[in-house]
Amino acid sequence: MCGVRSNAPEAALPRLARHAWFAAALLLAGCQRPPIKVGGVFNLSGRHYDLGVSGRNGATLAVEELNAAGGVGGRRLELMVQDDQQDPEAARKAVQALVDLGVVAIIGHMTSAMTEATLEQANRAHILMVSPTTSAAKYQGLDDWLVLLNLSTRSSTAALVERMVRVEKVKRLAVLQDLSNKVFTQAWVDGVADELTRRGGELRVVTFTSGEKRPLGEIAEAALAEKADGLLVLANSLDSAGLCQQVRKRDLRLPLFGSDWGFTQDAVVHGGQAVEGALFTQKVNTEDQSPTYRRFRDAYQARYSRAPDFAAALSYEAVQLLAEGLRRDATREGVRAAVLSIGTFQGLQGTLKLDRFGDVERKQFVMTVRDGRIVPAE
Amino acid sequence: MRSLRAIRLSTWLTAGALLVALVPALLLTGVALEDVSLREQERSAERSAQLAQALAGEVGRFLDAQVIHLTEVRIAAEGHPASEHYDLDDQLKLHIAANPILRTIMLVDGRGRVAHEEPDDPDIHGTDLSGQPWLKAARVRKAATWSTATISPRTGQPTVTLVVPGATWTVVGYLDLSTLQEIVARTRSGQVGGAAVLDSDGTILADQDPRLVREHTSLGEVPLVKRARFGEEGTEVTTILGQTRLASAAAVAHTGWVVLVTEPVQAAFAKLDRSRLLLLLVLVGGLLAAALTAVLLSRRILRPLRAVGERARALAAGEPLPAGEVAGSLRFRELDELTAGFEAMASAVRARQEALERSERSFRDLVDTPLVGVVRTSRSGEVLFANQAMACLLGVPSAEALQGRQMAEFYADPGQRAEMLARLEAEGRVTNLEVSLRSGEGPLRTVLLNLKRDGETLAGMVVDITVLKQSAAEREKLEQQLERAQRVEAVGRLAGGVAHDLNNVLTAIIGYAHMLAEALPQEHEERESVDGILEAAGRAAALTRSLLTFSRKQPLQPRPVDLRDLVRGVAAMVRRLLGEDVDFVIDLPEEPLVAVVDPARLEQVLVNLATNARDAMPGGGRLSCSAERVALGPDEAGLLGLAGPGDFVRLTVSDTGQGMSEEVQRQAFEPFFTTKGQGKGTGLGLAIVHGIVRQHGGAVTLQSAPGAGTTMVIHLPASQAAATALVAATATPLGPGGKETILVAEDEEAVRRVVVATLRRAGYQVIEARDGAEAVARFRDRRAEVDLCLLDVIMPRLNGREALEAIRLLRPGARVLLMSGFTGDVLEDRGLEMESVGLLPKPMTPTDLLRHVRLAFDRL
Repeated sequence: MCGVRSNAPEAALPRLARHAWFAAALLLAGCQRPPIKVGGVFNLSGRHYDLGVSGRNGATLAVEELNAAGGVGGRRLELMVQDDQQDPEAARKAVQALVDLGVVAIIGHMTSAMTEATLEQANRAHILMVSPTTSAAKYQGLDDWLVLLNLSTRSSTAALVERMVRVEKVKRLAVLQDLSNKVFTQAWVDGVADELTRRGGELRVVTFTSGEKRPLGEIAEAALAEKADGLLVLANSLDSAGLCQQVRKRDLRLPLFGSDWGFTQDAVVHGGQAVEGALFTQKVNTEDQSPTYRRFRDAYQARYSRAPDFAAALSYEAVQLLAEGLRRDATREGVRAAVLSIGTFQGLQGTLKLDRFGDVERKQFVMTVRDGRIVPAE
Repeated sequence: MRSLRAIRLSTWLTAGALLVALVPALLLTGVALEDVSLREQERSAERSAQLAQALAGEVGRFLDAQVIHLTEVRIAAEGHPASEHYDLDDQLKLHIAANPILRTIMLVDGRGRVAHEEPDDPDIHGTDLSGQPWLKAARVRKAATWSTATISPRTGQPTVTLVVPGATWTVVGYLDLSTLQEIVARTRSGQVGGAAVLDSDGTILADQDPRLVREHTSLGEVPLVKRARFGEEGTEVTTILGQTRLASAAAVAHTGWVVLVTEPVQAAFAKLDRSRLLLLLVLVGGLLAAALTAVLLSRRILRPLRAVGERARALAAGEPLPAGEVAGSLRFRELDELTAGFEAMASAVRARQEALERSERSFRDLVDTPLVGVVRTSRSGEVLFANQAMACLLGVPSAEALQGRQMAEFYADPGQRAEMLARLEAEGRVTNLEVSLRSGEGPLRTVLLNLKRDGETLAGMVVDITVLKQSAAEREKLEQQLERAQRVEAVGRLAGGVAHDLNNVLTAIIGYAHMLAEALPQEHEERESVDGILEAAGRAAALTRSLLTFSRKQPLQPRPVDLRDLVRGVAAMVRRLLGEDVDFVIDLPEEPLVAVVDPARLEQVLVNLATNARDAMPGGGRLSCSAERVALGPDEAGLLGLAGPGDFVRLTVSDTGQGMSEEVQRQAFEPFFTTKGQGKGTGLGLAIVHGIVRQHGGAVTLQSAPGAGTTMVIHLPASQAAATALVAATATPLGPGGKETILVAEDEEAVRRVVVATLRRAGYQVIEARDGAEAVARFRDRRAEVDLCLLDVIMPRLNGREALEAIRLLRPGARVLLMSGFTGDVLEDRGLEMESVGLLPKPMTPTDLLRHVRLAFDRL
């Protein structure tokens, strides 16, 4: 009997045949076409790690599924992951490392702030970045090396403000803005301000920086001091959860609003009762029961023992979009034009349209939390 | 070609020796390798598993300590009413101080809100934790519950929440798991291996590589980890983060956490690789030694073989054998035997070669010597010298072999030797004495002896005349055949002449006797005498017909006939003739065998042969008759006495009877020769056969020996013409006579008178003529009256045929009926249109005459 159970493919063979297997594997490896290296840059550590980990997981699952189906044009995809640590300097180093490794394109970043840090670098290096979740409106409509899977903040803010005015009757809105992801949060602030002003409302912004030594209660009180009839929290999920808790300790009825960045499953876990009924936008309906999305959700659940969030779904789509481009042209210089030429693309929840700037057009959902679950708002 | 394909023996031997060394070596190495691998792997696996279990135990104990700790808090808190919360805060302070791992401790009330926390944190105080899954789980389980771990954004360290539920208060602690990192950091698996702690999702909480912890790396998809999370611990070689590692997983009690101990597989099995390398080196070394030994050994073994080979080549080329010892320094009994055998063979070959050369010389001598035997013997007959020709003559292989043998043993007839000795004694020499000598197993040789006495020896020459003698015998036989043929021919002519004259007399006798018989009343006393005359005359007529047939004077009525039909037609009659004791077997080919023959005559041939055969087989036997078409060349045709070469039909009739002696065979075809008793045969059977066949231009021969049966072979010229059907002869009824006028020409007065009288009695008008010329004259005078000319064939002045031609000149198509007992050559030589001329054979009865006349009117 074999002394050690083996799960590596070569170890599954009888020991005496292993040399032959090894030789054959070498030979096959010699014959096999080299893999296509794809970079992945996600914020895996630091305060906004939840987006990054989900993004990495979604991208990894997509790559594994593509490889299991025979790769792209007969070549395997190899996902090379870097951590941008939600730090501009680290992000630039990570992108450079990937360029040096010879990747043909990069999946990432997951936040607008990191995209801001490396977009110029990517444009110079002619390396395509397919960002699953970057949404700041300022990147829309640019002839650059960035493809966005997310909708612009404008469409999100428009949808959310429409809802808060029409249903929640908000006239005066307080905003808690995290400056650590200012590119994103500012785009939201601007968008909401425009929309709300247009509808005759007004805006009061209270800023803070995630991770600073300032009690969340204090920040919450500052927002409450604005005497608004609604509060929009623009922060990551942990902060969003914490801030909602602090607000609810002080005001049980104030309508709460959030961004898709802040209202992930983690926010629901840590927010508890405080986030129940909060309204926020999402690009993915995580309650979707369509076969495509269910298949993805089940595979993700089996692989990571947790349900996918919107970041995981968008990352998964980003890899599939890139793979489609790579099927047309697998070179670093050519893949951008190839991706831009795709036009329409089958996503996890319906058809996505990609314009000539690489900006996507997709559905928008206004969601809420009910009984600890994220569901579409009625 | 063969030498190209052949494999070198040295290669074979070397390969064989290598194989002998290689197979057990490989097997042993394989078994050893397997054994070592198994032990080494088991050892590594065991070590790894033990380490994982030890580590899991340590982590478990660490976590258990925290559970105990918070449980103490819960017990302490339970005793305090909510109002005395200051005491509770102090309690919590004490616990935090006592346990550095505990970062935050909280007392959560029944609604899930934080009532007390230490250290004080306004952000935490009053926070609603009811949404937290760990709180829900702990309340359901009513037992200490661990949350999934998270990496604290503030500390970058893994953090976990421990919940101990109670009736009033639920104690919640945030624990800093950096201690785990310390535990893991001091764990080493082998030289380079390490350990990791994973939470229930498979996310790495502690690892030697802090980056993996920081980046929330998950190993949840590794099957070993998956199984371990459900309590199935194990060890296996698996791929972890793209690297093949020997990994052991152990579950941490109560938490669903997993401790993973891994080591790169190369490092884990490094010892094994060293063992393998060592074994491989031993194997290679052993094989090299085996190869060297095999090469040396095969060279040693092959050296004498090569030497033998060289000597064999020299022997074959007729060169002198190379000098030197065949066997090498290393000697083998089998090879010694081989070389000794070869040496013996070499000398035998040499001896045989010399004998061959001698024999060749003798043969050359023989060729060079005239083919006249030369011999010298002692007076007693012992051969002292003989040349090769003499030996050859006597069937002795060599002149040497003949020396010392007695000449007496070669004489076929001792009397001839006695005569030779007597003459020598009398005359001192013998000249051209013809004697017969034995020649080995061959036939006797006829030689002429020319000897003379020379002192005490006899010397002389012996000339072989066997071939000459054979030619002479052949010639004598041919002469005899010719003579016999001539005799038969002469007898035939004689018989023909006699028969002709006799026919005329018999015609007259029969004719008058008929008239007399008709004139006498039936009851007349002389009527019996007349019948006696008619019967005797009839027998005489039959005898003359046979004679004519034998002498070929009987006219033929030939036409193309398929002899197969003829044989089949006569078969029934032959069977009746042969009786029941004799089988009659017919063997005929598929294709027709056409010959131009008179079928009636040929039937007679077959009947005669059958009759003879029956008489030769009184006790029964078998008569077979076969026919075939053959092509005969000039030689064969000449020997058979045929006119020339060509296609023939060969009829063969064989019996299994008593056969004939040579004497009988010689006379068999002669008329009146018979071996049958007096009165049993006429002696004309075979003579008639001979006559008929010759008349058809064919030949008949017989082969026979006493006791061996007789075979008669008949050759008849084949014809290309289509055969005409054989029609059974039908009896034509005798006509009532007629009123027509008939011109009768017959030189024999008696015959003419009988014919004329018979015709007139039958009502015909008759004009008589005494010869051919008169007949023509009468016809010219009364041509208008004459309805039929009845002409004898042989007449003075104009014979029947000439008369016929003259009459036909006067009236073409005139009806003519020829009478003949002997046609001679009259009808045969020229192409007379016999179709328009009837033929009436003599002697004839008045009935025959009237029937033929009537037939002539009806048919011609």
